[in-house]
Amino acid sequence: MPARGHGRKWPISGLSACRRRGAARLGVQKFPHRPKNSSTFLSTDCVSLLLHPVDPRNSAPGRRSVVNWLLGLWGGGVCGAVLYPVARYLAPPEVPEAATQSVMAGSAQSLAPNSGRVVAFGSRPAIVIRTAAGDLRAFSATCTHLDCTVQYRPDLQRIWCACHNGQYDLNGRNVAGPPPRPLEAFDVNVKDDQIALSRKS
Amino acid sequence: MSGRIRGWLDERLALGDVIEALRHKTVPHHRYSIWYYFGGMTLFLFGIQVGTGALLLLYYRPSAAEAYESVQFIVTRVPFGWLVRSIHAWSANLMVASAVAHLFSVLFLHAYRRPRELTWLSGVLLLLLTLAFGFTGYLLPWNEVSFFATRVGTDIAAAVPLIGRGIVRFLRGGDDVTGATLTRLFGFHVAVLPAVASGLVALHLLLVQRHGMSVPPSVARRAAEDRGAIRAMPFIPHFLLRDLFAWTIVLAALAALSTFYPWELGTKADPFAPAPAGIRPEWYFLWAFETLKHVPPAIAGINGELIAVAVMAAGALAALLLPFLAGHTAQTRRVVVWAGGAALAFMAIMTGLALAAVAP
Repeated sequence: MPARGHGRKWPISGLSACRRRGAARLGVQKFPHRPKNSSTFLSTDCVSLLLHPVDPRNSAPGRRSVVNWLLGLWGGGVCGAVLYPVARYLAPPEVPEAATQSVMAGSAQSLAPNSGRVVAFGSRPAIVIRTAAGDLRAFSATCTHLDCTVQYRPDLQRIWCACHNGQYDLNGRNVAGPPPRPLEAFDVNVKDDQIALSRKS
Repeated sequence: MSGRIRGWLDERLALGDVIEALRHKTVPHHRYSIWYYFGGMTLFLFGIQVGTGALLLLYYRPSAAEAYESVQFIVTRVPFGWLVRSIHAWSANLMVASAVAHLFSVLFLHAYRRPRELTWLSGVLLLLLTLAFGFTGYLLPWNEVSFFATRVGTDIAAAVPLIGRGIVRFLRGGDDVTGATLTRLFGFHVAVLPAVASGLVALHLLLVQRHGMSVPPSVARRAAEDRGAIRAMPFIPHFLLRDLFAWTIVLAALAALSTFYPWELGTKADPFAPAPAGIRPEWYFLWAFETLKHVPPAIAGINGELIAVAVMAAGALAALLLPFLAGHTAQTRRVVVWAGGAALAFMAIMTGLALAAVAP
C-alpha cells in the first residue's frame, strides 16, 4: 500500500503512485474497513493526484511541471471559454440607429412667450423655449450633470433641472448648480407655424 | 410515533450534536443586549421580502409597456394586492433601517474584532446587497420618480475613468434607461441578488452560531474588574422568545404602515417628460443625493462626480476592511467610534438638508 498514513505530503510522486494504482485497488478490496484517516486518493483519477502537494525530494519535477502546466492551460482555456461569451453577452449590443437630424416640434403659435416644451428628438428629449422677448430656442433636454430631463422655469427665466437643481441660461450655458457642460443647442426654423429642430451643421 | 420519526431523521441527518449545542447556547445579558435583536429583525424582514416578492412575481410583467399597468392591476384588482405590494415596499425600507442599525451597533460595540472578521465582511456585503435590492427594485413599477432615479443612479458610474461608460451600458442594457434596463434590473432583483444574498446570509448565520454573540470590551472589562462573570441567558427559550417578540412588533408596525400609508404608485414613466419638481430618492440614498447637489462640476480640474464617487467607494472599502484596520487596541477602537460617529453625523446632516430643501 503506497502513501498510507502519511500526513499531507505524499512520500512518492503522484505519477508513480498512479502506476501502482492497480495494486492499490486490490488493497482497497482486500481491506474494505480501512481506518477513517487512510488516504482516499487511491481510487481517484490520476488527474486529482497531480493537484495534491508532492514532496519535492521525491517528485519528478520535469514531468510534473509539464503536466501541471498543461493542466493549467486546460483550466485556463475552460474558464476563458466560459467567461468570454458571458462577458460579451452582458454588454448590450449596439443597436444601429439613424442619427436624427431634424424633428418637428409642434405649433409655434401655441408656445407662449416665457415658456418651454419638451419634445422627442430621436430617442432623446429636446427642449424648445420661447423667451420672454419672443425668440425661439432649442437645446438638448438631457442635463449634462446626471442625465435627468430639464424643464423651463418661467419664474427664473432659465432652464432648470429638478434632480439636483442645475440651471442653464437661455443660451444653454450651465450657470448654477452641478452641471459641468452647457446643453447642446439645436437650430430652430418655423415653417407654416410648425417648429422644426435640427442639429447645428 | 414522534420518537420514531426523530430517530429516523437523526440516523440520516445526525442533528443530535446541533440540537445539543443549541440547547446549551447562551446569549450575554448586559446593558447593550438590546442591539443583539437587530440582526434577527433584518433576517425576519428578508424573509418577508422573499415571501411577498414571490407573490408579486405572480402578476408582475417586466416590460416598459406593461410593468406600470401590471402593478396597477396588482394594487387595484388583485385581492389584497395593495397589501402585498405595500408590505414589500415598507418591509424593504424597514429592512434597510434595521440593517443599518445592526451595522452601526456592531461597529460601536466593536463586535467586528477577531475572530469575527468574516462575519463583519459578509454583513457589510449583505448591507450593500440590500441597497442594491432597493435600487433595482425601485425601477420595477416603471413610474416617473423611479425612472429618473435610475437615470441618475446609473449615470453616476459614468464618472469612473475609462470603464465608466461601459458600466453604465452594462447597467442600462444600452445608452438610455429603457425597457432593456427594466428587464436587466428585474433579473438582478429576482435572480442574481437573491442567489448571492442567500449564500451570504447562510454564511453569516453559520459564523454567528460558530462564534456566539460578541461581548463589548467595556462590558468584559467591567466584569473583569468586579471579578464577576458576565451574565448570560439561554438561547432556547429565553432569547428566542424575545426574538419572536421583536419580530411580532416589526410585523405589527409593518401591517400598520402598509394599511394606513399604502405605498404610492405615482404616474407612469414618460421618457420625454421633464423630471418632476421635488424629485428625490428613497430616504436611505438622500445623503448621497444631497452630497451630489453640492459637489461642484470640477475640483482642482478633476471631475467633481469622480471625486465624490471615489470618496464614497473609499468609505465603503474602509467599512469592509474595518476589522483588519482597527479594533485590536483601545486606541484604535476609539478611532473607530469617532469615525463611525462622524460618518453617521455626515449622513444625518445631509439627509436633513435634503429633507429641508425646497425648490428655488
